[in-house]
Amino acid sequence: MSSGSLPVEETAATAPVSETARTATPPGYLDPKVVMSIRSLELRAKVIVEGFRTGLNRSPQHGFSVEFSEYRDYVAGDDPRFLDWKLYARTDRACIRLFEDETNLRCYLVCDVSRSMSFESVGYTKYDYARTMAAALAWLLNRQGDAAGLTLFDDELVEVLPARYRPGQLRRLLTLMERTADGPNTLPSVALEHVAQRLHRRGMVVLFSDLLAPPEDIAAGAKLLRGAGHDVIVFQVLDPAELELSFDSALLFEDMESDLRIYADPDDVREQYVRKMAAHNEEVRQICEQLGITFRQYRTDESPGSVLPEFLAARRRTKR
Amino acid sequence: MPEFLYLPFAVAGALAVTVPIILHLLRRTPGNRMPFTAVRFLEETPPKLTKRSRIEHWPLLLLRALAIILIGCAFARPFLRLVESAVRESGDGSRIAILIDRSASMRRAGVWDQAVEQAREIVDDSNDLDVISLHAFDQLSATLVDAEQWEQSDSSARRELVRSAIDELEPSWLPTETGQALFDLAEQLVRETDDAREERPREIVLITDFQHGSRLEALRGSTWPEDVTVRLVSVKAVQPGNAGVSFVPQADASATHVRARVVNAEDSPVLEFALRLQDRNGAVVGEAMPIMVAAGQRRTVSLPVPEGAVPAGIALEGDFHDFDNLAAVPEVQTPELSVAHVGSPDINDPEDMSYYLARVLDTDSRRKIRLVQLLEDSERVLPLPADVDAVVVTDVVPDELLSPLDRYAGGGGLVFVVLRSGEMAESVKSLLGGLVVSEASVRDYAMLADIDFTHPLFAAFSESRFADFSSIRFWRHRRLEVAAEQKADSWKSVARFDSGQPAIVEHRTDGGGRILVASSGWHPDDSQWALSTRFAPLIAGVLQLAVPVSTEQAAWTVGDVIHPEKMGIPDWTVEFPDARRLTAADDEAANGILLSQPGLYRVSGGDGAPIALSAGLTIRESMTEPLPNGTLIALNVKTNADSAASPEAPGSADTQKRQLRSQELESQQKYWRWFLLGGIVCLVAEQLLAKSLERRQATE
Repeated sequence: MSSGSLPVEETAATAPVSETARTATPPGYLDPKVVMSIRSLELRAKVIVEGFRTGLNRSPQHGFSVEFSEYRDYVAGDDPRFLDWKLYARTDRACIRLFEDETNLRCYLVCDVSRSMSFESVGYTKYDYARTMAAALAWLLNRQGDAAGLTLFDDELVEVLPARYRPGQLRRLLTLMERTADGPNTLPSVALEHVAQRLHRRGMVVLFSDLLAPPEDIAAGAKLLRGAGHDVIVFQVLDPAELELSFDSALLFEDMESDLRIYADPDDVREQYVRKMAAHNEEVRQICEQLGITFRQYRTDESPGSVLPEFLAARRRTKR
Repeated sequence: MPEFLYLPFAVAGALAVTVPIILHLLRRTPGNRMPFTAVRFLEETPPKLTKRSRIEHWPLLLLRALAIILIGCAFARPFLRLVESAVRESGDGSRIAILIDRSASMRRAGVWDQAVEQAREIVDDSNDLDVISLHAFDQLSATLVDAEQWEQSDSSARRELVRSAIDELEPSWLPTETGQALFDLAEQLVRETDDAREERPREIVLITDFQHGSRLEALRGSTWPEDVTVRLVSVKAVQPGNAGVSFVPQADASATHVRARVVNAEDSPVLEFALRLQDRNGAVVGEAMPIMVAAGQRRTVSLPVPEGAVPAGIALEGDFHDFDNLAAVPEVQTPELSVAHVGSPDINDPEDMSYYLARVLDTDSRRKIRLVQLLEDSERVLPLPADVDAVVVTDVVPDELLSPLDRYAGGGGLVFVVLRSGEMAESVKSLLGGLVVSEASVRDYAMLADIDFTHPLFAAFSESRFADFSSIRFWRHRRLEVAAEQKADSWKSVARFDSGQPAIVEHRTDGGGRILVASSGWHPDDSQWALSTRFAPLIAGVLQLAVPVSTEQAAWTVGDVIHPEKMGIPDWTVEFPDARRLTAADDEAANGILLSQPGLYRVSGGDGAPIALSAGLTIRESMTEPLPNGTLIALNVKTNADSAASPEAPGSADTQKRQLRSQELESQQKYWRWFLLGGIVCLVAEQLLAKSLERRQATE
């Protein structure tokens, strides 16, 4: 655990992780407000990773990467054949042993840096939240010896860091993610197509975006990747205000990526808005499902730490 | 508490204030902007008032609301209804002059009674400190009870003094001079109270029907005294509208037709009337003539006079108000003339001039002519009568008549010699003195070509349509030449033939008489003259030279002043239509005779026959439609704010009265200008404030 310990929920180590968790911070994970209040992205990532790791092993002195790569807490749905009974007998903790070939992954973290990602209603932007998750993943990957790359996009490629496992890769990756999200528009297909061209060997692509783009655009890029045999995980990041239209007065809503301006009273239009938003998200989800893509929607008011077990679970599913 | 002339405008202004309030509540302020991501999933919400709506920029809203209210009030024409009696309650009393209109139009049914009632009410409502005087006016003004009489009477008797004077008052027949009466009385009030150095309010209460014919010209251009107010009390007839008839004189009076003019007031509901002639006794003459006159219009018609009838009046039937429904018709003058004829006494021979002369004289409608034949037969010659008015000579004159004729002409008489032959000319040689007569040589015929239309003999033919004598042909005529020893101007040519030879010449005698000589006879042997339409007027012209007769009908108007002495009648007596008499010796007649009533007047005196004059009402008194409200104000007369526009006249509502008063008040006060100015100031301030706020928001 790094110095300057941060308050961690005491029940984090024992609470199971639920894949369907959507609401506020589940037991065993870090309070998102607390995590997001950490100014340093690197430190935030470390906290998340450490938080996840302490859920596996109460003894951090054993080394992070080895233990982390070897064990994690048992969660409902895991195959009990991989339960480490010795560790269970020793610690009373149900942990799943991870195999070595679960490492050495080439993974591209693809982050949306369009202007829409700078929306926030909870004190931090969606991009800040997304890059926190991406940073945590990068940290995890790096510790596992996996190659992690980064692609930032809006309606075109903004930054590209090829996936490598070498000294300084993580720092470079985290540095690139320090930029602000101010791109004019969102076209995930651009980034996904680029990654598809770069990945010559089978790898994993993790997309962080609000996906407020035409679903067909998302489908186009995802199909390329899936067609090439790559694994894709899509983490849709949305602000609660975007999902619920939680405004209490009539406002002139100005689109952040176009000239569209609509004066609306949320009380009058909330129902149909939520319906349309849900329909859009459902369409995206179905596209992902049809393509065999793991889809997970995140609200920025839920813990970003759950991205790690989600990722690991998804990774395991792809191996079966 | 202000009142409004057009209250709906004030109400509209008050309601319109809600508009800026609502707009302010609906206002979408630029501050309420939200950058958002999924805007395309939103639907536009129309602006509406909700419990969350709130007003921003209160000062701007107040300015806008105030501007709307002030402009609405301006259109609503506000005014303050002052209480006139506040002055009275101050304890100083008022100087009140009651001025009653007693002109002819006040004779309409119900009008005079109302006026009397109103005057009595004013007296009854006065307080002990008021000073009241009573005046009446029509064409002239008169003071019936002056202020001194009032003040000298004790408090119990003074009101009765005025009431009695009111009761004795009666309407006259004279026209209305309202402007002059008002102005004179106002000046009198100023002089009187200035002399007494009193500060009490001065008021004229004008009780009148205020009809269209009220002359107000005296008020134009004059300066109304600042501290004299007029309270107009309008009285109305029981029935609106009125028609009146007046006689229309003709330049050439005719005994066969009488012209009349009918005027119908603008507010008259009746359009169809009838005219009927009356004789001197009031009996109907002839048939009624229906006539239709639109409201506000007048028509002149010609009524036929039955043969033998002598109309004395024209009656208008079908009009409710009868004070002006009878117009007197002046008598047509028909003097009696005696014309002596020296010629053939046989008036039945169409080949002779006597035949035509007798018939022309007999059919002269303007005169009663007695033809005296001096040559009864070839043996008997009658002497020339002393009272003969003219002599016509158409044949040889016996010697015994020459001297009388000569004396007659020398004494101022008229002798018309028609030369039918040289023999005849020889017989009248002494009369023709200086004229050499011979038979003219006429090729085919001669025509009159050069006529002096300025001569009274041919004046009637001076109009171009009558001036063509070329249709009259003269087969024979005598040649007239002035003897060399005579003065060239002793005979004046009145007409010449186309040959240049005289046709008619004239000689004026020293005594003022005339000798007219025609060189051709009018009988068929000589010419076509007697057979032409110009023969009778020519003979009438000769008689007119002998005895001038006025063919104009004299028509006077009630209110005119005549001076009988200027008519050539000394020691005259004037008999009025009501049989009252005035003589030249009466003091009342010192400045002439005022024709104060309609009807026939007779002016007698001297040796001449009495002169009949007829006087009718002026047409202005028949124009009874009321003058517009504000007429006095427009003439810069200061009116009292509490003017009772009209008492409870039949047919008029209290609201109409109040409205008339209100209109007069408002037009005097004109507060709407200040309200409009205030509204404009608010709009300017609102614009400046709005721009300032806009700039501030832009910088924010």
